[in-house]
Amino acid sequence: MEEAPNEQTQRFYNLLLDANTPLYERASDSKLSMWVKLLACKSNWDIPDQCLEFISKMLLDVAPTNSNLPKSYYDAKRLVSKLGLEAKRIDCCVDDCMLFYDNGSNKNDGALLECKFCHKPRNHDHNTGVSNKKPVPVKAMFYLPIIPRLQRMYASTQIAGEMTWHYDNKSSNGVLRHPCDVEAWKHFHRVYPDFATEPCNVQLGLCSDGFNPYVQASNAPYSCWPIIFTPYNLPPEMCMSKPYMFLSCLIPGPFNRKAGIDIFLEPLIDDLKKLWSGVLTYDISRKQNFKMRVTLIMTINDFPAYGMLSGWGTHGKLACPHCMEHIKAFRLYHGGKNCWFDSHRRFLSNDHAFRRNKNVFKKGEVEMDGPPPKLTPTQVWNRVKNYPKVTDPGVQRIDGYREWHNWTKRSIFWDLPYWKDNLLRHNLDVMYIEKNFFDNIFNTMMNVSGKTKDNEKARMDSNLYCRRKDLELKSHDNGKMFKPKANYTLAGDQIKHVC
Amino acid sequence: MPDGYSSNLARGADVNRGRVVGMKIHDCHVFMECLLPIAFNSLPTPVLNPIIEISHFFKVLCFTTLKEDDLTRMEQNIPFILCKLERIFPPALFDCMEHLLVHQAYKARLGGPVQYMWMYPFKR
Repeated sequence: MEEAPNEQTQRFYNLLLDANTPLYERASDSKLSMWVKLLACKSNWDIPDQCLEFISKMLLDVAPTNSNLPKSYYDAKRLVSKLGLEAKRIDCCVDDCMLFYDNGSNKNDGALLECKFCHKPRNHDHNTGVSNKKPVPVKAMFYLPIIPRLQRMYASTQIAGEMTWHYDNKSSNGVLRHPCDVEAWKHFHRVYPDFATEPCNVQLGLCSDGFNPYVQASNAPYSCWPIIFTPYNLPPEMCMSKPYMFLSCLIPGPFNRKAGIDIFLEPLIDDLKKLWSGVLTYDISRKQNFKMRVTLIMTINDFPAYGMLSGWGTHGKLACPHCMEHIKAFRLYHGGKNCWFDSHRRFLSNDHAFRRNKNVFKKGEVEMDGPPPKLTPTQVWNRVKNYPKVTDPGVQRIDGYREWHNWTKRSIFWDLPYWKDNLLRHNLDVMYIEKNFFDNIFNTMMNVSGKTKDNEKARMDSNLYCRRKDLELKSHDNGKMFKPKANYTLAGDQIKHVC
Repeated sequence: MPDGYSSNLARGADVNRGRVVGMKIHDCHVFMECLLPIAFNSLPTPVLNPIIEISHFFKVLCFTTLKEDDLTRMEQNIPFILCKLERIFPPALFDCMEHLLVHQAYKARLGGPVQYMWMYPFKR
């Protein structure tokens, strides 16, 4: 049954139709393309406003009719912004204690003029006498609302049809090509059958990483955190490609705010909650209005960011978020670093010969423990549900931190009603693991001084913990110690051969 | 190597001082999966074998389509490979990153092919 688009979508289509009319008769460009090109100049090459004013004036003079051309840069901006997809600016406290914003239900901080927690002012001080000026916020973050962006995907004829790919192409023979073939996805759909029956519902991934926008110019570190969304409904060739990644928050620096990142995610989580209950959307491929529901299925991070988003700190001895407190890491006596040596034997089968070997692993130790238990999401939820959130007033360290657990907070993602039914909530990036692994092995084998893991201290440690005759430090005749060549490092000419 | 597959690694290699500089993350990825077994073939066999195995593990893990039984097998194999590495290298090499590898095959079984969960596309 075909329906007319809802009011909001219809308005957008009308605007688009109007914007797509050619500039003048037999012109190759439409009105919209001209506006966008003008704005692209600004964003691509960072041209001054005055220069853009000049260009638009120039165009006006050249064109045969000038009714459809933007009169100025401001004019072009105004016309394009009518098409939606705005960016919001949300003021925040200088010390990142809170955001000044209303979420429509229980939070009304939009009108406050100083921070609730640290009482620092929201705006810059005015000079006396110019009080009629608009106040300038000390710090602000950008939030690009996600709801209209997802709705827009269903408004486009090319994309809307592809959004049900995951539903039409289910594999059954144990081959995994797409996140929709795997256990976590299927589990979620088993728990929420009403969500699973509507193929147009969207599954999202969230990615976040810090980067420094002023690479060349600055020597002071500045860490800015973009939060990017990607829908997993699309077929493999479109999934995770550039047009289908949406920037959603831009969290300003200059410091990395560690666990406090949750404060900036608040508007996003509010939107996600709204999306879970459903938002009326028009699907042009089926020509129907439907209630679009959206879930966040996982987040993608590197290792430090994992700690920030999940709440399980990734520092120290308890860094591994899977093994949690069952980890067998220890601190090296000489090297002073945490070490995961000999914590892999427990994953072997019970009768494996390595488990009883007292010589090649840790001196005189046999391994009898089984692998650490894999916690279900509900078990994790039971652990964290009593911990304070970062947004709660008077947050303190949780008892026993770094001793028997590594929880720093209850992550804001637990506010999502479905988060405890996600098997795979946070995801580590294999790329980084591979890179670090490679660096360690490569530098050790090539014997790069300063980077190799096989230095004097490592040799002393290996003496302490294992029986390795060949790795012991030997003394020269003059009393100085030296490091005999190990069988895993290459000799000088072999290194040259590698290069 | 095909054009555009990786950057020109030879440019970063410094033969006289015996090191390779300026490798980006993707170069590490290529080196790890394709070149490692070839580059270090002069090592004694007991050392070389686990390194080839680990290189192969990464290669299979990064395939665009995975098989469920393959992953189950990899999940059982990876502790064995790491144990073999533990026999060779000193304890200082084994920091957290080495340990996390144990869980990766399991995660891929839960979450799908690795390419949907890494940040190459976001980094550009």
